[in-house]
Amino acid sequence: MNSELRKLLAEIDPSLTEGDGAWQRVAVIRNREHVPSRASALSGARLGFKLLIADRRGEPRWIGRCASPLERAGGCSGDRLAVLSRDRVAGMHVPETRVARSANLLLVATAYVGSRSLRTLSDRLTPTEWQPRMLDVIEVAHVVMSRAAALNPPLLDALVPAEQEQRLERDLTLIEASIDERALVAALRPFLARHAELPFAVQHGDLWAENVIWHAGRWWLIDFDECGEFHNPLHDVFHLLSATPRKVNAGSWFGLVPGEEPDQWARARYAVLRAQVDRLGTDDALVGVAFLVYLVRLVGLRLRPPIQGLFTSRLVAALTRASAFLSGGGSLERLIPLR
Amino acid sequence: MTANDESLTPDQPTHDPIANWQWLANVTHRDRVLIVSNGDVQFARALSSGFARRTVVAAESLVGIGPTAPMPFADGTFDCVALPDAGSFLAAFRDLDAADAAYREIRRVLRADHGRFVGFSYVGKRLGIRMIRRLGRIGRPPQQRILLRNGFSRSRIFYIDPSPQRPTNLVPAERRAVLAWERLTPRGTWTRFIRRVVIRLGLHSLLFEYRFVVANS
Repeated sequence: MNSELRKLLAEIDPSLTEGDGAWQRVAVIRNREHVPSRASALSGARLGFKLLIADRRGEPRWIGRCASPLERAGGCSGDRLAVLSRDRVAGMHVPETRVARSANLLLVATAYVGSRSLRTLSDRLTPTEWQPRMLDVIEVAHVVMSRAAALNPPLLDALVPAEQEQRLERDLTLIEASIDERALVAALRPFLARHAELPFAVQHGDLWAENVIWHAGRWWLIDFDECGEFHNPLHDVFHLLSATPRKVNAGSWFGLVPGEEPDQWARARYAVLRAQVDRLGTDDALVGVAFLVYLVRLVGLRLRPPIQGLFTSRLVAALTRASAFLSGGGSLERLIPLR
Repeated sequence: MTANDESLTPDQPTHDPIANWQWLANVTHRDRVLIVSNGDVQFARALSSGFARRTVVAAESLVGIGPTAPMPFADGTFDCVALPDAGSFLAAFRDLDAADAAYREIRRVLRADHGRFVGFSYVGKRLGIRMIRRLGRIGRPPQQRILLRNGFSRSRIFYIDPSPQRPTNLVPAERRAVLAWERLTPRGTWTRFIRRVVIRLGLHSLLFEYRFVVANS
């Protein structure tokens, strides 16, 4: 193994220095990009490769992300995540994180907390079992993100309405240019004008069911790379509902389809969403605005490097349906019919 | 023997994850690399990312080499020698003595202090074929044996999943690493159980189609 990488690994896990054979416990996983790569540092891509570090018994101990040390320092990754994981409150739900860096490599290692993701667990649940678990997860995310904002003041910088306006406009322009949807964007603009009325809050950003793990009797959140990117207070809730459970989502519009009689699963989703809306104290029209902002910002993110179009078609389809519903005389209140 | 020399731009950015084998093989010097090519130019290019100069020779031109017909390079010319298809390379020799001579010649052209050898090989697509090959020999795989016999040291084997051209996972051929990797891979209950038994029995080589071996000169 490379001596530079060895040094970083020894900082993360000193047990790896016990004999030459210990280095054979380190595997490369999710090998997506050569490091160092000047191009990725310039584009702010978060690719690189990951390392799996096993313990002496052959159990996963750490998952490390290796990237160029020049990469954009944003969100809540690296040092900021390490601080968050050491916090007394947030540390109950954020796995221990350690950071080591050298001239050519940045290694951010997160303790492995099992593979029982919310996505896997949800597939076995009934709607009545699923609903309280989702509320638990959202509460955990709320607590963790509150601590993240308190511990990392730069995350709050983006809460300025002008900054939010700028980000939304950037993504709308990108959608117009990238997928040639001028009519779609033009139809949405009048409705999006109300986005400034949303109460802003720091969001996890990628809170989908694979990033929520059940381990040792509590929920753990992982993958904070997009933390701080989004400030729509319902972003995490929409994101969580968009892919959980898998069996219900096939072909549907996040399970929130206006004009259709809700089934048992849709009712459970509405109940989860309604609980968050009630907590925020916003009116139903703003839920529709939040949903539009969620779709626009996510499509915008996925049109930029390094993702550039991956998993975008479903979101664009949802945006088109929302636009068609509103252009056809539908109201923002009925876009997500909570009552 | 025809050797193509190319000067590469060290600053030229590369995204290809194939080049990440260099982190595992501890390639410390990146001045000159020799690629014993199997014809896959793109793969050879990605393998040698980061090196300043690359020399490419065809694999078949090395079949007759030895003390009487040496390679046209001085001792210790290269920091690294890479065989993108080491399995076919080995199979091309008429006997073990000829293969030994070729490997000794490869070692001669490597830098004595920090030279690295890397050889990629295909084991077999079907589990049955891999089992027959595994049962046909006891001990170290043939390439590792031939390397050690010819003066190379500290040879290590890594499994590649799913293929050398798309190396998403590079797993050391070590029980604990393979067990941990297996934990991360979603599988059915019975498949998972059987695979874990196979790994615990030390037969993890049966589970992978591709591997690469790295060794010091």
